[in-house]
Amino acid sequence: MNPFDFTGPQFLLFYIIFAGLVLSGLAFWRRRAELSPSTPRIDLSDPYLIAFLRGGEKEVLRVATVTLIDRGLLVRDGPQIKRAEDASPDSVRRPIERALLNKYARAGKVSWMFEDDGLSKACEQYAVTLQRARLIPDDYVYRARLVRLIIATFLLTGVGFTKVMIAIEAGRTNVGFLIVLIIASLVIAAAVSFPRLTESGREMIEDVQSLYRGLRNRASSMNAGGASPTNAGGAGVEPMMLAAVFGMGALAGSGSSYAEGLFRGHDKRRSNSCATDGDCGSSCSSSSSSSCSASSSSCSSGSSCGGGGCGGCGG
Amino acid sequence: MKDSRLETFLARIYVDQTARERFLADPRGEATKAGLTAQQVEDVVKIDRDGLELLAASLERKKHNRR
Amino acid sequence: MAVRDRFGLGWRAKLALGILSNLDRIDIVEVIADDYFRASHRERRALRTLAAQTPVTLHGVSLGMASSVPVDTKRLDQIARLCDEVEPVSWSEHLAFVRGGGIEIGHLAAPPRSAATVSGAIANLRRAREIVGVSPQMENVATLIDPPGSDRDEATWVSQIIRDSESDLLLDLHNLHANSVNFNFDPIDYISHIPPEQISAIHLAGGKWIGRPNARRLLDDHLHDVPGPVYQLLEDVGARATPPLTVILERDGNFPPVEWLLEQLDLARRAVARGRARRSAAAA
Repeated sequence: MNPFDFTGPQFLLFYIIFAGLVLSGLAFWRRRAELSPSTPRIDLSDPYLIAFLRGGEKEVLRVATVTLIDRGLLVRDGPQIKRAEDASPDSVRRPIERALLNKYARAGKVSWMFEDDGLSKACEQYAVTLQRARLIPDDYVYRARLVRLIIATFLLTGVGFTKVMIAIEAGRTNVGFLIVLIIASLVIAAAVSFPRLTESGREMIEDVQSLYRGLRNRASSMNAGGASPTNAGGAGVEPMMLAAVFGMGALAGSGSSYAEGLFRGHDKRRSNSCATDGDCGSSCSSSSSSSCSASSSSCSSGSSCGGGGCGGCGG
Repeated sequence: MKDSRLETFLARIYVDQTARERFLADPRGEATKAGLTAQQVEDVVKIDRDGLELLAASLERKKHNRR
Repeated sequence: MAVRDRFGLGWRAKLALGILSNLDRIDIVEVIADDYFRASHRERRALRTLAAQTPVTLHGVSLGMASSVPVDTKRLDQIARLCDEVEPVSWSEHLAFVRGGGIEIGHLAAPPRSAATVSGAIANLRRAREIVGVSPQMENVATLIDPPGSDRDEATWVSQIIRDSESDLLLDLHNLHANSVNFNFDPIDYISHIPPEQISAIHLAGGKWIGRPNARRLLDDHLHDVPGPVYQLLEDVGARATPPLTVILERDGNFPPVEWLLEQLDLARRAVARGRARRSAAAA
């Protein structure tokens, strides 16, 4: 049976199935190729690194801004932000924080930070680290993706436009829908081929959200202020990490609940915790306490959600 | 089998308040009914009652915390 | 294989950030295995990610190994699968019974200390080794009740199981301390019963006194700081036990700032170091 002999509707159905298989194969091939054989090791305590992994440069800027506001180094001034009177860029360690304090030495719009080359440069170190860990694509990965896309394009256009030509030669002109299907499948192929994260990166952010799900449960008890860049992992760092791992929306109900509104409308990207260019396979529900695998162990008292301990060993 | 009966008996009086109260009211009778050996009956008759009370309360608290 | 003593914390969701922020001061993390038996594939994979950041040991709480009743092989399969996925450096369980006749006790209970539970524990350990591939370290449990049906003391019972099964002991020093004050025996004498080369891990925890004034018992609740006598016991173990030791500080709630827990871990390091110094001096 030669599919090119199918009638129009038959071929459309065939093409939908064919394109589905090609796109599924493309996705599967990319995911398999981009999965590291061993689990990468990165600093899971660096909120800016995690923010970059989850949402790129803009997420780093959001998290850094909220952190600096909570520490009193940046202040909100209506729709603008500016450096506090007694704040100095030398009082912070991290390049991104220093760059933000420099940028907002005078009051300025929040949106400016997303267009600033200097701030962009301050985020480069995170990209380099994540590329080395193969969590975001490097040049090699991009080239491999391009090759896969070219092969998929060849298949999708080859089959589709062959039928278009046959139809036209037979005097049929109702090929518009098929052309639309071909274009749609090419668009999907491009989207499937170039997500922001590698497959390892997608899994890593899911894993990080799983490991830090306890933070989500405590959002309402987190106070603003005192957020510190130190590695103490103490209470002051929690809002930073919560925002980094789950997004500004996760700060709702905490002392930093102003955060989501601060960036609304200033950047076209949603600050939703799952906004990672469509590759957020984690789904926010994986970090909600209700989805925790409550242990059915007879002995892990209070240990629903992976971590209540054994409540005392005996007695 | 006889050893597992003792463990079963202990499990029951640790977690089941009714069984525990019946046992404390008539330890020999309840232990005998449970099929324990003569030696096991003698051992449970001499049970550490303070410890039993504390253990039962602790287990109840843990059960409550899990809910 | 580790040749130096390691010091770590029990993994708890509330401590995640504190632990991951201080891996330079934490050598190992202990995860409650049972929390992951029915976890989603993602949650188990996250555990693997944790294991890539720091060594992980798995700690089971529901096998009921020290029972005259054979351990359920399905439960052993669960731990075996988790070990395959996570590749922990070790796994451990308890010398306890947790169910009887279909009744779940809901916690780790001290079984009657008898020949039946000794042979039952040894058989269960053999089965565990066959199914999981490696023997667990076995932990002594705290008890509020002196289990009836016992014909030997705890030190004798534990040492018989450890020696005859050739498994290692995870010596919970607060459990030992609590039992020793509750039932009036010498913890140093207890430790002397255990072959030094078979003490490979230590748990440290805290507890509180409960009960009526004339019937008080020390409860091991993992909600309080490690008391002084436990650090003293740790030093004594450090003087006896062959390196390396894995020392885990357990805290299940009432969490202090993580820095406070790390300081307790440092106290543990110093206690073991003092013990090791005594051991070296004695050997010289």
